[in-house]
Amino acid sequence: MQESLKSNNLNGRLIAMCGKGGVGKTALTALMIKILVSSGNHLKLLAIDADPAMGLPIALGVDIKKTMGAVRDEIIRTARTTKDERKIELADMLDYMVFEALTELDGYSLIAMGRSEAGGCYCPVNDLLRSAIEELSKGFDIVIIDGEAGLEQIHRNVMRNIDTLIAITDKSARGLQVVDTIKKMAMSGKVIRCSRMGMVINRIRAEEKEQAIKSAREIDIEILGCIPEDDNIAQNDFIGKPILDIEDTSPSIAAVKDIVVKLDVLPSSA
Amino acid sequence: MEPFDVHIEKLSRYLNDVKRKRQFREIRCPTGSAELLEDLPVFVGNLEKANLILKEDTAVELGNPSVASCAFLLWTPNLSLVRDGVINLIGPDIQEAIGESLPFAQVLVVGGAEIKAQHHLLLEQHHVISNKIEGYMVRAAPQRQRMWTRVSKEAVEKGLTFEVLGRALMAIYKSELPVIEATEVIFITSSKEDVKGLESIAADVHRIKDKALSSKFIVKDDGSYECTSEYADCTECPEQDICDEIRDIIRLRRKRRVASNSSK
Repeated sequence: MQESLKSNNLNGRLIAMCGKGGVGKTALTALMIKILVSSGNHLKLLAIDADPAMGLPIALGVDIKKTMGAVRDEIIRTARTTKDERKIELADMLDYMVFEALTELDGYSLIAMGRSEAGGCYCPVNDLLRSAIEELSKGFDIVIIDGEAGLEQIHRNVMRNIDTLIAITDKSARGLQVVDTIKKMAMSGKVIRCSRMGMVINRIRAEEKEQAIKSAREIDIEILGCIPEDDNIAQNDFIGKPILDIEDTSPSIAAVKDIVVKLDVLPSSA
Repeated sequence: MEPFDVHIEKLSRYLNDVKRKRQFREIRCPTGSAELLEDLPVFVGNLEKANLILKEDTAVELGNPSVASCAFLLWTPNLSLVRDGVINLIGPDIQEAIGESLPFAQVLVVGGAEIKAQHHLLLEQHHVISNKIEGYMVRAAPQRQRMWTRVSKEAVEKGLTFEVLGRALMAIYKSELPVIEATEVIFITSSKEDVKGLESIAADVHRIKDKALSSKFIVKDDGSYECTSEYADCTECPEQDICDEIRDIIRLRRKRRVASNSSK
């Protein structure tokens, strides 16, 4: 199966999260960022929030000044009044605007796709922005994309080739069904190309773990790890505190550390 | 599109005024591109990998959108208006501003007897020297006359200064655009106010360029249109298709008017 997911056109360590709504994609992304930043490896880390709902900046406690949606609107507005001869100016300006949308923080940088007011399909604009994001990503050691439930949003607006696709689920049958659908989409290679796909089972109580793993195995993809139910995350969510601020001793942290090791992204384990 | 002689003079008056109030250095460099590039401490040429300089690797930031920036180019066939090989620096140099985010203006004045209006965009494109100087990241918005750059800590350690940037810029122009005979560079880092003082000249340049790049029609009193494009012959004009369409529409309207008048 892994062979069928291979792509010939991959660079860097690009990781994308997907899975049913509410299973914990954003929480896992935030925890991975926390672990990678505190690993002391001084990696250049880029986080991309591909979900228009923009949950990742909240989970990270970051204020976003400009989204890629705003850049998209500006491109469309400028393109309407730009003559052929001046397209090169627009091409230069794109990198300026994408850099404006990059929020640089301690140990990592963040881009939020957000929403575009312009609506419409404007496929060439999406292509243009995707190429700018792909170009920007080349300067980073690790890129983590927090996606929507499906793969379309990542494919359309962020990136077409990634290294590792992580499908997240909780113990629900519906969550697993979505993982199975994502697997089929990824295997078809039509929506997104990835070289590795793994599953993470989230919010699992110790006594449920065995059964959850048994059900997950039926989907036949690598299980990267199980994250236990973590009251600290729930508490931070409840009081509106960033997930990034949870204690290092929180049970979910150890589980996500194991996942990071399995992903083989840190230089010490490369 | 006229050469920017008037604007070069205006710029010169503005700089004379600012120079009196601020720290000012005039750096005289050789004029040949090979001599300009001699012994530069950083690589100048096409870089294999795009320069991405994040905050943590930045020694000095110039023209961050939250501070101020202004960048434009002026050209003239009148070589006496360009002090070839001169770099004007108003404000602190890179080594004097480590850790700072400075306002930034970069103005290039280029001269060449054969420079024509149609060279303008090509000349401006080279203004954005992104990915051509090691340790120097450029993000430019030519339509807004903005330029946001970062100098890496590594490049500063190697000795990157405004003299090096100016030399690289002049050498790139002279080697890649044979039509250029003389180049003068102006860098301003002294204050937001000094950078913003250039905006009226920049806006003028933008307006003139806009006008030149769009075949302009003036509606005359009798309702007919007059093309103000600088092209002597319409077959040279890139907008000819549009004009042909408009002429067809005018013809159709005239026909209709004649038909309705004769039926009265």
